[in-house]
Amino acid sequence: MRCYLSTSSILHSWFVKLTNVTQVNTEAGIPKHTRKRNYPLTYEQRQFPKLIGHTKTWNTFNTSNLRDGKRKAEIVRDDLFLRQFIYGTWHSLFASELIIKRRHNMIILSGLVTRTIHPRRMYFLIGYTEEILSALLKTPVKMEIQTIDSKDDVIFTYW
Amino acid sequence: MLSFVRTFRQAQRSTGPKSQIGEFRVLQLTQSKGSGSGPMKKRGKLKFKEVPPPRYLRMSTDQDWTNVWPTATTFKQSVVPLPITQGYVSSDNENKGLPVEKYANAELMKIPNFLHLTPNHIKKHCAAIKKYCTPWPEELNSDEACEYYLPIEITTYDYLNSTPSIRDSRARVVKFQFKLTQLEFDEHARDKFVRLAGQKYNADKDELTLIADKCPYRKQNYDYAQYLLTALYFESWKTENWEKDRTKNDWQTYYWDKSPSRTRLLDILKASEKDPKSLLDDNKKLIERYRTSISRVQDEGVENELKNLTDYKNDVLMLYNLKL
Repeated sequence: MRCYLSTSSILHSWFVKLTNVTQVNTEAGIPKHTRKRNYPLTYEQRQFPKLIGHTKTWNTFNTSNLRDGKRKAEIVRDDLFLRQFIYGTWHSLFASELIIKRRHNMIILSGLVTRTIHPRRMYFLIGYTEEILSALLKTPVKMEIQTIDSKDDVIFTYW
Repeated sequence: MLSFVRTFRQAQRSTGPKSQIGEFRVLQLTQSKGSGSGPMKKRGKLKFKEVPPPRYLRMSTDQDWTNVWPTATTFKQSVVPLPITQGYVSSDNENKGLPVEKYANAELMKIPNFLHLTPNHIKKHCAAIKKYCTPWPEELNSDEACEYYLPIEITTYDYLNSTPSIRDSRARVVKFQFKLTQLEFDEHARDKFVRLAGQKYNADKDELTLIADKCPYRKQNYDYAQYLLTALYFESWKTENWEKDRTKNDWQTYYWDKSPSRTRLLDILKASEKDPKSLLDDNKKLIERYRTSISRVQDEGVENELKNLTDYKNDVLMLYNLKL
């Protein structure tokens, strides 16, 4: 069931309990239903954050969180940088979240990309991303993307 | 980061009624009903968006999968000829109630797949490595043979992770394990060795374990363990001056020959006014029994205590019955 996370200091106190919907019924990552029920959600967005590990899996895979794992903070920092970099370089092209896999010393970036640009430009983007990220992160970076027709292909439900 | 921002589609150029009376169009300041262009028209599908049908439709069932998927890569839905679905659909509103197919499925891309490790792959890997392998030596056909030919067991650890660095400080540990029967000892040396080893000696398995992790590098720890072993061994053969200060409390087993019990026995026999040496010879058997039973009482623990004590009692009675 939902757990009520307080966003205000007087949400649940002995002298006053708030009941307004906007402050009490909020939870991270869960959108509110629209009146017309036509807000499109992908599969990832429909499986709320609490369902990670149940009907959804993580977007990054690495060994840093195993026992005696190394470089936890650096990997998180690199992940955030990679997501922002891809978001800014591939303008509205990614239809899914960036999937980051780490294998040996390599970083493998994955995702679903729409075919709104010419394939020649996409090859350039792939090469550019791989080259510049490898130089920045000092590890081989590879992109293994899949292309889809349009963003309508990833719509899972309307919320 | 992903958001469905409404992009503006290109509006169709307004076309009024075509002029048929000349080159100039009629000026229209207001729109009449039905002369508008209607809803915005979509951009025509650009030519480069057309892609050929997926590759799996042209794959034969007896193709060599090892050539299609040689290494570990993310899942490619157009290459895998299987109708795989992944996704939880809770109602008919979601995905029209249908299972979530592999096309445009990010979940399938996230998880690791083992399409690069099918049995055929493994066969090929083994065939490639086989020429570098030698057969198992025939002499090592049992545990005892392994112990004889390979007396010492040296363990080192290696660690993998998915970071650019191959360093791991836990990999410096070196472990030496062997049985003491492999080394030559006399009684004093063995006892001294076991005392020097302390916790590192396992009496049940007669095994010495040396774990070296003081130094930062594995080679240093290996050399240190070797040095430690040699030092232990040669020290155990030396007898220091202070070792002769041993008392009965320090004995590791009960030596009846040095014990006060023997001197006492001799005194008792002397007191019977006969030649003690001849007495010893006459009653050798009884004295032997007395010796074994008292040694057993002193050495063995709680297990056979009752039996040992009753034996001791009987032997003592038998011994002193001589006098009577």
